[in-house]
Amino acid sequence: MSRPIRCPSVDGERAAEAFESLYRRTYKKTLAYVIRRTAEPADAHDVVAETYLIAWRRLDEFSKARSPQAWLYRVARLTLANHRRSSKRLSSLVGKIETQKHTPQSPPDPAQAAESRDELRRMVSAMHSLSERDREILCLAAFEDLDHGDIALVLDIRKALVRSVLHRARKRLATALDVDEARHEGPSGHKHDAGESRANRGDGRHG
Amino acid sequence: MARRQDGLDWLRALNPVDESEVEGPDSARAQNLLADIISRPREASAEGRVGWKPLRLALALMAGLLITTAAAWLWTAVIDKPNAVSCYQAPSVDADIAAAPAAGEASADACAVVWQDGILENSDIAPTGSVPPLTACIAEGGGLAVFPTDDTTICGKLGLAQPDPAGQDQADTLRGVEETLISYFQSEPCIPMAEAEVQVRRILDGAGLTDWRVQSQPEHPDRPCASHSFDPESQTVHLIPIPDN
Repeated sequence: MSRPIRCPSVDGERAAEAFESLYRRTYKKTLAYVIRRTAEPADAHDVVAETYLIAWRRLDEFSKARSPQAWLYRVARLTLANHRRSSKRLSSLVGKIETQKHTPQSPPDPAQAAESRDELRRMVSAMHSLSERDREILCLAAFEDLDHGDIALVLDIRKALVRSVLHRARKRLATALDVDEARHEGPSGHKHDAGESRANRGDGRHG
Repeated sequence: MARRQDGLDWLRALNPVDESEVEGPDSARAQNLLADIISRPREASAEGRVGWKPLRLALALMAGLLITTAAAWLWTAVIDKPNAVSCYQAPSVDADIAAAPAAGEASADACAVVWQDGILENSDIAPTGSVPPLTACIAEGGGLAVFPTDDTTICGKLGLAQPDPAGQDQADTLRGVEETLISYFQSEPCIPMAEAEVQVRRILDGAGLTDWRVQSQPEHPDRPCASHSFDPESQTVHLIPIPDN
């Protein structure tokens, strides 16, 4: 199974320069992508280090990618999956969004704060009801602001599929949000407490 | 509540990380990482393997020609890349493709979740969300190409090889080794790099992968524990130092 040694197509010095240039252009976005998907900063930096090490080893592929940033997201995504299998510390992206509940970002107005908390709870609940693939494509579109070509690269699917997959994910998210809203509002449109909501589940669903 | 019109806009507003607050490439940590990485030797690049592609393509075309002239022609090939499983939307090499999850097995079953999740759908074959019959062939690149059909002759019709049972054994071996490695690294909160290197070598040798390499990144005083990365393409297990948390 041994493989012959092959010379890299980019020589050492030029490779380092090319890599540094790409590293500088992509580092911040890559780190943000990984932080969104990890619980601890130390985990995020480990994943970023591993991601760039792979990029260095595959510099020819990295530098010629349609979008080096999307190529890195793809590597980071696979690295995160690998880490998740061997560590329980890494959180899901939904968990990361949920932790916003505990950060002091709420506006000072109590009514507004309550509304923000309710919006967050609904979104987290809706996102939890989606598949991992749906969540990932929605977050790539929302947080990483990628176009369809880049999303295709990250998820390793054909570009032609992205539109329909994203469309279906958005529809499922909208449905989940509507279902959650129906659970928490009675026929009059007023919010009920959790006990009432459970009793009224299925009533007053918006069309 | 003032509902946002689009769930995606709503989600966007809940971005858990403000990118402007993330440290940049000029930070000390980022600079140390960069210096560390570019001080390492680069390995054989993916491009180095591209030279085989025309040969594989030519062989596939020749084989395809033989198949069209001899209907009974049948051949098999081993799975070179057990981690590369492509799921096709229709029994055609021109159909849309979705990749099977990395954790899936190197078999046709790996594509079941892609159909279940509705990533792939083809109402002519199966209702959305249900899994059609799946048949695996060997793709040009050496991975698996899985088509939604119960036609056992589909590989030959498409000019592709059928998976060789011997190749399946090798793929199973690699998956088994990866699972063993994951279990090993989960067994202790912190496995020292030197210990991990010895044990990983032992696991590889025990599975007959004596020509695989174990490549350790340099240790850091604040990163005494080992994590790993499994890379069948370069036949290497990378050991990465991580903090002891």
